[in-house]
Amino acid sequence: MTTNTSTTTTTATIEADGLVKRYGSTPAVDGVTLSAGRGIIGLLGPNGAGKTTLLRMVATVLAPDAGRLRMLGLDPADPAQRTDIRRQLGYLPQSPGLYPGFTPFDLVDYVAVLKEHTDRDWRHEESRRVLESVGLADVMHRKIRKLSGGMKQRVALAAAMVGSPQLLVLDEPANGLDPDQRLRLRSLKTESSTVLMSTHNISEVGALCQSVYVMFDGRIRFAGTPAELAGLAAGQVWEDASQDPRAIRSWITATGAYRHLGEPPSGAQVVDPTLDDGYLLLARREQS
Amino acid sequence: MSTTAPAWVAPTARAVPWQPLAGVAVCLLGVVVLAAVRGRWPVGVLDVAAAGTAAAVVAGLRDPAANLLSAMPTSAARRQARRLMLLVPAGLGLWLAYLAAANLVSRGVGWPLGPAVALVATGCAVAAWTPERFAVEAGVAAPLGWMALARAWSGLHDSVTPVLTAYQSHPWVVTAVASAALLMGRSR
Ligand SMILES: Nc1ncnc2c1ncn2[C@@H]1O[C@H](COP(=O)(O)OP(=O)(O)OP(=O)(O)O)[C@@H](O)[C@H]1O
Ligand SMILES: [Mg+2]
Repeated sequence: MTTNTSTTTTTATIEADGLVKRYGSTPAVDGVTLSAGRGIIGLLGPNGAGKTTLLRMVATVLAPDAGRLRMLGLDPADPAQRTDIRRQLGYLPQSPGLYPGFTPFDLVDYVAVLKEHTDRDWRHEESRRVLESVGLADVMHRKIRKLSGGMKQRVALAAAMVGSPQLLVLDEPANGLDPDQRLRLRSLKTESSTVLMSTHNISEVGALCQSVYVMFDGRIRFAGTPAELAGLAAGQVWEDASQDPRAIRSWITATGAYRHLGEPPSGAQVVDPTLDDGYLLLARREQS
Repeated sequence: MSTTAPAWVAPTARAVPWQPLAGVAVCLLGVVVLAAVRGRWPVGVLDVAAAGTAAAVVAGLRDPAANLLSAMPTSAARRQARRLMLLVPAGLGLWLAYLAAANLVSRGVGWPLGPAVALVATGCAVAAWTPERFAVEAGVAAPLGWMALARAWSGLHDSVTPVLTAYQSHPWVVTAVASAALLMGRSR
């Protein structure tokens, strides 16, 4: 995704301070503080880390139990300001749900209606634009029930992008996309100044994001650039022809060699860390 | 396409699941045909029909794309209100058509509009006050449950009979109370 950099903003688009959300007595988000300005921000973390819960709060869908949250300088707890945020927000939920009897064009046009765009000609043009940008030009007038899973995901993505919202919140946008479409996602043009996206695909973060947050058990355990995340594992990755019991984590690579994480033994062939290495090392530390 | 209808009307009408209302319409038609063949109107069927129609109207609130549309400036409450603007007239139309057909078979049926309206309002109010994930189910169950309770227990206990049959004896009071509850529930 490439963002438009023609305008500048002084305040952060998303400001969260000590955000808490509990389901029953278990906190799903447990004191998250973050400040996100322009650019694409990646959110990583294992299943159940609280990514979706955090994104739903940022998308104004879920109210936090505690903490302070502001988007675009507005307070989502206030109904009028919440509506104002929503006018400038695009949200792709993890399980969007669509109307099977609609065509992608009908659905995106309806979303534009709900986003209060009254000019019919503008809506139609915009619907065509976003559907073309996600590669659905050919099927935009086919019933959604006849589309594949990945195509449906792209319909929902297109719906989130209608009207070029200032803030885009995407919960696993690459979910179900084939490699070609994942690549397409990377070059997707969005006018949104801030994109906050969760993903399990670490290489996507490296290719797309200017900054990255990693969550474990409802808390942010890392905040920085993708290079800094990879840098966590600097000097702690080595490769070898065989398994090494001293490694805290080992796996076999495509070349048949073993890649090890941990304190390298003397004489080990230390290699440059990747984003995966940094993430896995962080995850390992969290587990122990 | 009409140039006067607001832009939300056509897509909202397409998004509404009409199957429950269509299913109830088929059942009601079956009752009318059967009654016409037998030449008399079955006792107690009006009550069941009213509850079924009300439940079908409330079932039209189900929204499979609720998640996708959860962060729209047009709130879920407003979208539901728009749905009701389409569903209630449709349900009412079905009910009046049913009553008209029933009156052709048997003059004694009359035009009991109130109980059906009261049950629709009750179902919508229950849906508005129930957690989102089973709001529509609860709203559908409300008119059916109330009707079933009224049939099973009214007359058995004098103390509860007025409450159980309130939608029949005071339908417009019930409608007013339920509508107020609906408005309060949606603006929570
Ligand atoms: N509606 C809910 N009711 C109860 N618990 C919930 C609910 N939604 C999420 N949780 C719990 O909150 C925690 C965080 O869930 P969340 O969906 O935010 O995780 P996630 O990081 O998005 O996971 P994944 O990568 O699998 O999507 C989990 O323990 C989950 O079981
Ligand atoms: Mg999730």
